[in-house]
Amino acid sequence: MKIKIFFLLALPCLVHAQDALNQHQRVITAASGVYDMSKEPRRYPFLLILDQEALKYPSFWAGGHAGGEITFSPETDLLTGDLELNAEGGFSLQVTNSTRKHGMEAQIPGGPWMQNTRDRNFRVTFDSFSDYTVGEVRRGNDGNVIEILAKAKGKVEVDGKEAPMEAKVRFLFQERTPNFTMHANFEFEGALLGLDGKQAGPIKATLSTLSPLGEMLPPKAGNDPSDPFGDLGF
Amino acid sequence: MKFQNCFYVLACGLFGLFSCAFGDVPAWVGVEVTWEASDGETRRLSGQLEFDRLPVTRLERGNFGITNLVPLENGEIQIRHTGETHEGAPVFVLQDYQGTHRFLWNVEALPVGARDTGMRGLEVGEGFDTPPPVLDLDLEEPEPVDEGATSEAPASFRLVPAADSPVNAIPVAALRYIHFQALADDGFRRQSYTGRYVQYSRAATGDQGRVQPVAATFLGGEGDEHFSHGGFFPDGRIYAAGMFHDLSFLANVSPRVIGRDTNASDYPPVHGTDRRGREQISYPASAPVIFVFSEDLSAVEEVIRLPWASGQLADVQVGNDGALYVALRERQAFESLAGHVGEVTVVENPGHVAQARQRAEARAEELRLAEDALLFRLSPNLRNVDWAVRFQHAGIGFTRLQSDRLVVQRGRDVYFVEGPTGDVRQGPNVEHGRSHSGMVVDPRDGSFYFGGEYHSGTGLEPWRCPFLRKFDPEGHPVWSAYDWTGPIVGVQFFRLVSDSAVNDVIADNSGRLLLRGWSDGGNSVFTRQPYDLRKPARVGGTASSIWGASVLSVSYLIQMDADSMEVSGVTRFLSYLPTSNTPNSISLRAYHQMENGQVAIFGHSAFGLIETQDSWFDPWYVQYRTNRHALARGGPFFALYAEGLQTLRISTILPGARAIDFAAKDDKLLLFGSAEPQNNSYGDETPAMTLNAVQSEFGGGRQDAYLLLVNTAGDPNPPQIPERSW
Repeated sequence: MKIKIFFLLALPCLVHAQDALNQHQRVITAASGVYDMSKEPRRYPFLLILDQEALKYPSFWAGGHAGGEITFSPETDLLTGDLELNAEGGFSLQVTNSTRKHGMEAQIPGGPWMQNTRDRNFRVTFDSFSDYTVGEVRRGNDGNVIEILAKAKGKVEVDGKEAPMEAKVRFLFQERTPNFTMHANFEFEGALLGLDGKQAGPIKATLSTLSPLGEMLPPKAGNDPSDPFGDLGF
Repeated sequence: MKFQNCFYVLACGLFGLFSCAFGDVPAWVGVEVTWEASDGETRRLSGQLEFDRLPVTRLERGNFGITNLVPLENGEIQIRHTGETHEGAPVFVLQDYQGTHRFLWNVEALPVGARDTGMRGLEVGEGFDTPPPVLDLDLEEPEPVDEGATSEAPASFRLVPAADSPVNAIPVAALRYIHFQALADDGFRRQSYTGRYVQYSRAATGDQGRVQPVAATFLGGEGDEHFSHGGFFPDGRIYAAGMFHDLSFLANVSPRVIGRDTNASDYPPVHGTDRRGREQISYPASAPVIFVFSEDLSAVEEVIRLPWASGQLADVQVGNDGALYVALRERQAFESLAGHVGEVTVVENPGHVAQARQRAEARAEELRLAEDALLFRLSPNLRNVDWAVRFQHAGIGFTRLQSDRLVVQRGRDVYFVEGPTGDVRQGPNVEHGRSHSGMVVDPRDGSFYFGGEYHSGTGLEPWRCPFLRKFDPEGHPVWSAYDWTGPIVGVQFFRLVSDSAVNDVIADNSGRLLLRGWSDGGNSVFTRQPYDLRKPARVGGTASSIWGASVLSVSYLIQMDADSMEVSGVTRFLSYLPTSNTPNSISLRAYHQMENGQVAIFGHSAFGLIETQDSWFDPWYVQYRTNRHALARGGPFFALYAEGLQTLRISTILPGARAIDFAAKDDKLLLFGSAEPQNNSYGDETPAMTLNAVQSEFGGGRQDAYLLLVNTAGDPNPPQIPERSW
């Protein structure tokens, strides 16, 4: 009897959970994975564009991955129905190439860094991610692309100096292949990185990078993550 | 019947009777042949001109060109006798539709026979039982061929009559007309003009005929003359200058000599051969000559000549006060000028001397120093040399600034010469590698630009990356345009992977730059602003579409603000094959930006030039209305863009023009260079334009010097476009 009553009381929650799970299943399938960013085979998967209000011209940079591993184990909160991306870990991107804007060192954001870019340890690091929401699902060339919006915290480093940043991030996960594109927008202070004059103020960054192919998550012991009853112990 | 060569007649043209390209070659064409028989009667014979294989130019990928006789009107062709006969037989000229080959055949007769092919109208009659043997094509002075194009020996052919024929051969000398019937029968694929050639021809309305020729003239005699420089005096008169070895064609004007004259006979012509073994004559006696014309180009007012064999003209520019600044390179009789122009400032070249000494010592040979250059100012009355500067052991180039200061370049060294006084001051030493444009000076303030390309050795497309760099007058860098690298433009996020380069730069008093760029595709960084890849540049204009090209090499024209590098317009100008709707090439030879931002271009177009409807010679779009066989055109052309490079004010063939360059003043545009007596492109033989001419007749040789004065702001004179009559 007690079991029957419990079941009847739990049924609405279970139905609600099933609905949420159905909606998020595609996201979970697409986004799950372990991404060792150092395994990116492409030499220049990372693009950075800097804009600064006090300067007329932007600057463009490219580079590669400097290591880090990020794991996405998304799941649905059965009580709230929200998707939790459960991103763990972080990664760094290293700027290795700049344009050759001779004479414009003072006219573009980060202009002095165009000289000997590779030796400056010019990096953007994403330490943590939070506040996830599922965005759009679009048709892409290789199947659907699922958008997840998030926030990130990290830093920008150059010449041994650091500037913290908080970014708005957009992940685009390919449904058919385990990889993602990440776009991020953030600001950081030029002065904290040794810039002065018009270049010292806030610098707006637009960043894009591609992930290598991810690996499947290791299975959780005993449970099928798609079984809505699994966590309830049934 | 003895044949030395085969004679092929193909219907051509517009509503052509042939399919070409992509290997679908028709075997016959319907014709009606009219000839004068041996009894004096005019006979006609209808039938099919049948071929085993067309005499074609095999293009890439097995596509075929077509040889054809250009019909004059209404599908009838008049046999033209041109050139010299060969062993008594007349010679006929054929051109293929792409104009890459001219075949001269010696023929005796048009064979008339029959072959059982099952073709409609075919009857076995008198004539050949077996096809005549394959005969070799006798090419006379073959034109340069396209890469990959080869000529094949023609196969047999015959006229197959619909009815019994009373003859088995029609002597070519008796032929009067060959009428190509426009109807296409079985086995034919009718071909018509289509695609972008038609679309752009319809859209290119021009500008109501406002761009008008005012005067056009030859100037020259039996030799090969050419104007290398030209321009306008402040009072509107026109000057044109070049190297001439003979001025006997001048009437009513005696040249005035600057310096101590020499005897031309002391420097006789030198006969030699070029690398192809063709005879070549050079004229060491040649001297720089400056012609001064009236404002309307109707008369030669003055002629100023430097001593025979004194120098090779390098540049002529006019100053604010009407003085002429002249630069030349030393030749045999240099001292007859340099030693007779008053006081001469000498700028030594110790670096060159040291290098030459080192080389001579290392090789144990005689010291050899390069020739000097002379820069001098001819007073506004063109009678006196106000000052002269002698630059030792190198050639020079110079730009005149608005302030009349001259920025002189000798190698990497820059010198400033004050125009009114000739005072010389050393400027910066400018090093710059791999610059196609060389140093281009901004006449407003003496800042300068280098444009070119560098190779992005990152393993990523593009390999060839363009750059344009600006320096202030003291040589300090100001900005860099483009100058991206493969890792930034070639990857996932931009994919601007087309190789590109900046080939040339023009800077003028307006504060605009005109760039000529090159790319091998449409995914070029030229389609974006040169400082921000996220911002598109305004790319467009008539005849700028490049899709469908198999091998692409495209010229870009880019207008840019000289201070901010903001691009205001980008265009490409192509021709289009009218039957296959594929882009065809155009080579830009000269371009000029007027002060009001309009851009003039001269070049050579492959078949399918887009002409505006108000062009100076009835364009295809107009001709086609009354002549179904009207042909597209190619060859030398002139075009004028409105500011921003999106609107074509005029595009017209320029018959006979060879090398042309531009000068402008207010709304007037001067085209100067050289021209042949008539066009010689794709079957078009339009005579070169002469109008209100000093010399309306071609003087001789391969080319005469040529001037064309254009009013770009004339009263409207829209073209009369007839109603379609067929």
